[in-house]
Amino acid sequence: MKKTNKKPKLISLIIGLILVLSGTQLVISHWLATTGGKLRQWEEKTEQLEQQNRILTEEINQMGSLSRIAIEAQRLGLVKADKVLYLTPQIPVALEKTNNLER
Amino acid sequence: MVSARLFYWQVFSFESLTAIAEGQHWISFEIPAKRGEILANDGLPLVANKEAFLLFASLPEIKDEINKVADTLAPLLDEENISTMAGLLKERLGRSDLVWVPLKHKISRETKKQIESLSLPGLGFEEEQDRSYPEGSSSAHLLGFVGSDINGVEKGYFGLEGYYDLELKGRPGLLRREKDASGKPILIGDIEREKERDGRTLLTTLDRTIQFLIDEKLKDGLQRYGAVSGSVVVMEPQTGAILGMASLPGYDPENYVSFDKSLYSNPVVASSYEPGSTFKVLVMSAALNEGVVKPETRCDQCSGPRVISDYTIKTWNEKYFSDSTMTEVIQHSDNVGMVFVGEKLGKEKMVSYLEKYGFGKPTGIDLEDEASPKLRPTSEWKQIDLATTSFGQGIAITPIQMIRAVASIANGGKLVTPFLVQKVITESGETEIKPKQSEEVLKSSTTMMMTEMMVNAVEEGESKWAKPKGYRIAGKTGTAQIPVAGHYDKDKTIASFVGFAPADDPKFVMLVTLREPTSSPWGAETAAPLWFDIAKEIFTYYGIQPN
Repeated sequence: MKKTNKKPKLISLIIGLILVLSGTQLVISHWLATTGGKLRQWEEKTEQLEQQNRILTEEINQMGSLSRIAIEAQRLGLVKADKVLYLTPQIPVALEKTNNLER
Repeated sequence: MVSARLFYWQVFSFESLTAIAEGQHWISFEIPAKRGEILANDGLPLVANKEAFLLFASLPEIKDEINKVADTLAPLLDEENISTMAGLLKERLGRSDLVWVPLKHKISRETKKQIESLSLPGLGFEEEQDRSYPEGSSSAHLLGFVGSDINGVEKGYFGLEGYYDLELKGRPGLLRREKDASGKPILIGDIEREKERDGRTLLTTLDRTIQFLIDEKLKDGLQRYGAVSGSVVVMEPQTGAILGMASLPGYDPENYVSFDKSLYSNPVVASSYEPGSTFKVLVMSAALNEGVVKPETRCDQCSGPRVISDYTIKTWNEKYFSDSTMTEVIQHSDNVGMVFVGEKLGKEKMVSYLEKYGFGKPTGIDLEDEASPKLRPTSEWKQIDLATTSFGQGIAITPIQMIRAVASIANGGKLVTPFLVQKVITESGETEIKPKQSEEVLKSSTTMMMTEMMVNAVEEGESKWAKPKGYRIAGKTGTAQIPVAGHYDKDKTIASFVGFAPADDPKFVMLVTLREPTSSPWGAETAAPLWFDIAKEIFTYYGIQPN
C-alpha cells in the first residue's frame, strides 16, 4: 500500500519541476529579449554620442583655422601693427644695486 | 520524391541555402577604418575627417515616378550641373537589373537633412567619411587629395596623401553577430569581430602660421607683379624640415574634380626650371671649396663680353667691371665673371659638384609627385655648357633641389634631405621619423666665405632697397630666361630670390620664384621684395631682433 502512494508524489514532483523550469526559462527568455533591446538602445546612444563628438571636433577644427581667425580679427577691427619695436633688456635696478654692493 | 528533394537541398543547393540561413541568423557590419589625419607641427589638423553620407535608393520601394524623384534630388546634389545630375539619377533609378543603387557619395549633413525633409520613400543613407581641410586650400599641393581608384576604393593622390596612402588609409574591420527574428542582437549569441585598424596620423613639420603667411603673401605678390604663377618654400637649414610650401595657382582639394588636372602636381617638387643667377652662389661655393678662387681673386676677363663658340656672353645690364673681385662678381651678378669662375673650376669638377649638391636625382622628400630632371652626361659637356651653367642657364632643376643645395651654405656644408613628416601616430604610440643623415658637400670655411659674399650681395646689390633694416640676410637674386622651342623667349622670365636669415645663425632658408612677372622681368624688383616682405613677418613671428 505504501508503494502505491509514492507514485502520485513523484509525478507531482516532476510536474512541479517542469513548471518551475518552464517558468524560469520564460523569465530568462523575457530577460534576454529585453536586455537585447536595451543593448540596442545603448549602442544607439553610443553612436549618437560619437556623432556629436565628431560634429564638435569638426567645429573646433573650423574655429581654430587661421584663415577664419584672420577674417574674424578683421571683422572685430583689429589691424596689423605697422611698426615693431624691440626693446633692449635692461638690468633691473635691484640687481644693479646688488652688483654694486658686491663690488 | 522526398529523398530526391532532400538530396537536392543538401548537395546542390547547400551553398546558397547556407548563405540564406546565415543571412537570417547573422547580421554583419563592415566597420570602416578612419583615415589618418595630417597635422601641422602644433598638432592642429591640416586634413581631418568629417561626417558624410552615401545616398542610396532601394528601387522596389520607390513609389513616386522616377523622373520626378530625379528632378527633385538633382538641385540638392549638384547645384552647378543640375541637368547632368538629373540625367545620372534617372539612369540609375531606372535600372531594372538592380535592387539597390548608390546615388551619390559624400553628401553633407545639411544635404541629408534637406533630402530627409522631402520624405521620399525608397531613399536611404549610409554613413561614410570625407576629408575636410580646416586651413582651406593653402597647402593643397603639399597635401594632395583623396579620390577613388578603379574599384571605387578610396586612395590618396599627390602630396602627402599619395606618398603616405598606405599609412593613412588603415584597414576596415568586420562585426558578425547572431540576431533574432526581429533583427535584435541575441545577448548570449555568438559574436565574431575582426577589429578595424584606423589609419595612422601624420605629424608634419609644417608651421601653420608660416604656411598661412606665405600663401597670403604669394597671392598678393602674384597680383602686384602680374606673374602667371609662383611658389615659396621655407625650410629649416639644419635639418631639412619643411616649414612652409605654397604654390599658386592652386586647387581646392575638397573639390578637386572641378579643377584642371595640370594643377594637381606640386611645382616645387615636380616642375623644373632654369635657375638663372641664384645658381651662381652654388658654382662660386664649389670654386671656393676647391680653392681655385678666393673672395678677393680678381677676374681678368671681365672687361667686356666673352665669345665662346658661336655665342656671346654678356652681363644682364651690359655693364662690365674689369678686375672685379669674386665678391663683386656675386654682388653685380656678373655672368662674364661667373664664366671665369666656371672655367677655373673646370668641367669635371663642375659636374662632380652638381652631383654632390644632389642635382640629377630626387631629393627624397616625402611627397608623391617628386620629379628630377636628368643631368647632361659628362661626355656631352661642351665649353658653352660649362659657361652657361656657371650663371644658371642651360641646366634644369626643381625648386626643392635648389633650396636644398643653398641650405648647405646656410648650415655649414651639409646636404640635408628635405622632409615633411616628423612623427607617425597610431593608437599604440608614436614613431619618430628622424632627419636622414646628411653628407658634407662644402667645408665650413667655404660656407662662411660664401655667406659673407651673399650678405654683401644683399647689402650692395640691386635689391638692397627692399631689404629689412637691421638684419644680416644672405641672399641672391635670379632672373632666368625661359627656353621655348630651342631658343630663349625675349620677354618672359622666371624671377627668383633665394636666401637665408639671420646670416650668422640661420633659422630659415627660403626660395621665392615668380613665373613671367609683368611689372618687371627682374628678380631684384619682384621676387626679392616679396622674399624680404615674407622674411620681415617671419622675424616678428620668431622674435628675431634686428642687430
